[in-house]
Formats: sequence, structure tokens, C-alpha cells
Amino acid sequence: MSNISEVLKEATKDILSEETLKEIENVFNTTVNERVELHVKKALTEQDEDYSAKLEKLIEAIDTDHTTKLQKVVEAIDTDRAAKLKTVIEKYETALQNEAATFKNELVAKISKYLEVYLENKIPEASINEAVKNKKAVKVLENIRNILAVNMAVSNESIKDAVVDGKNRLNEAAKQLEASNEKVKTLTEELANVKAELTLEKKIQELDENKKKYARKMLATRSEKFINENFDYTLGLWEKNEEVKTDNIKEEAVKAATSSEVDRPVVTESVATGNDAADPSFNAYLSELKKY
Amino acid sequence: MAETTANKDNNNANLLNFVKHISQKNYAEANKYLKEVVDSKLKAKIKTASKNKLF
Repeated sequence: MSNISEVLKEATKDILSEETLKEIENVFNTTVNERVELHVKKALTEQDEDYSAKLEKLIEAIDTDHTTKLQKVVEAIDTDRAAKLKTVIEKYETALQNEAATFKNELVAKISKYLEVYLENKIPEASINEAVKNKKAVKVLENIRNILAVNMAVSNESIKDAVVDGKNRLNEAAKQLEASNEKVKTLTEELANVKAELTLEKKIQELDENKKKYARKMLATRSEKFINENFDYTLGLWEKNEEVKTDNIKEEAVKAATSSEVDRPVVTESVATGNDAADPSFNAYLSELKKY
Repeated sequence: MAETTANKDNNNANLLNFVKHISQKNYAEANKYLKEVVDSKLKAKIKTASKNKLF
């Protein structure tokens, strides 16, 4: 490619000097360079903007893609972990329900077995058997001793007779005691009755016949104590009863006298004089009234 | 060993309580349950021995 100086030299046919041509070339080059720089800058700016927009789109696309992918990964991990956790829970529950129970039973059985072995080692079964036998033997011997002691006493003839005789005497004494007690009881009752009768007789000996009859009737079957406590009260009752009877008779006599006064006034007057007190019919009448 | 079923159950319950109290470091209670188990086992042994005839 030919430069601008050669083109101008051919076009102007050596009209322009070499210096002018060089100056023109310099100016031309400078101007062209400036324009080129401007264009390059513009192109670079446009390229930057374009690339920036594209990069943003790319980043967004990548972000979206990565987000989608991460979500899928998270979901997958969640599902996987959940499944694993479920398995762990099931395993744990199974272990807790079955294996723990088995372990517990085994542990208890082993401890129990260990204790048995330890006890067997420290206190052998033979020793226990011997101790139990000794205890049993002592009890049996005690029982045998008791039985034999009684049998020996009974088996001896002289002692046997004495025992039988003693038993008979005891029975006889018991019978006698029972009879004596019965007799004492009867005699005590009789004595109490006699005492009661005596007391009653003593108390009524100075009374008149009617009072005696009444007191005997009321107190004959009572005890001595009852008679002592209630004799005066019983007599008081009798006297009160007699007073009531006398009052009743008097009232009836007054009524009879009043009614006879209307029919036979003369008879009433003769009563008032008091001469009839010696009349035997009047006394008979009064004595009849006294009976009631 | 002639342990009855009821006795065995009782012993197992006592041993469980023994282990429980040991794990809780409650040694006094644990000792109580262990003593009961040992007593029960000894009684069972004595009972078995007492069934043997003397002669």
C-alpha cells in the first residue's frame, strides 16, 4: 500500500516540495489517527455495553439455572435425609421396644444367675441342708422327749394307779363341790325368805288385822331389803286408800240424808239430835258402809 | 432351684429396681432391693432343703 506522500507526488507531478508533502502526510496521519482513536473508543464502548448486557443475561441465566439445580439438589437431599431419619427412628424404636426389653431381661437373668452362683459359693447347698437337718432333728427330738416322758409316767404300774386314783378323787371332789354349792344356794335362798318373813312379821305384829292383811298381801313375796325400804310407803298407801273410801261413804251418806229430808223431814230431825247413835240399826248401817 | 413363679417375678422386679437405683447412684435403695433378692434366694434354698426327709 502506497502512502499519502507518494499519491500526492504523482497527482501534483512534483509541484509540491518534499517538505510540504511530509507535512501534509504528518497532518493527514495525525488526523487519521485521531479519527481512528475516536472510532476505536466508540467501538470499544459499544462492545463493553453489549458484552455487559450479554454478561448480565448470562449471569441471570446461570443464576436461574443454578437456583433450579440447587433447589432440586436440596429437595433430593431433604428426601434422602428424611428417608434416612425415618429409618433411624424406626431402628431406634425397634431397639427401644424389642432390643431394650431383651437386654433388660438378659441383664436381670445374668444378675440373678450371678447372685445364685455367688451364694452357692459363699453358702454351699450342703451347709444349708445340714443346718436344716439339724434344726429338724432338734424339733423331732423335743417332740419325742415330750411323748416319751408322758408314756414313761403312764407305763409305770404304781404311778399309773396313783394317777388313776388321783383322777377319780378329783372327779369325786368336783361332784361334791357341785352338790355343796347347790345346797348352799338353796339354803341361802331359804334363809333370805325366812328373814324377809320374820322382818315382815316383826313390822306388822302391832298393826290391826286389816293393815296386817294388806301388808302381807303386798309384801309377802318380797325380799328383806325391799320390805325395810317400802313398808312405811305401803302402809301410807293403805291409809290413803282408806281415807278415800271413808270420804266416799260420807258423801253418799250426806246425799242419802238430803234426799230423805224431802220425803221424811221428821226422821232427819231425829238424826240431828244425836239420840240415834245408840240405835243398833244405825250402827249396823255405818258398819256396812265401812266395809266399802 | 425351686423358685416359684411368683417368687421369680418378685426377684426380677427387685433386681430391676436394684439396677435402676444403681444407675441413679442411689446406693441405699439399691442395697435394700439387693438384700430382698438375696433373702428370697436363701429362703428358697432353705425351703428346698426342708423338703428333704430327715431319715
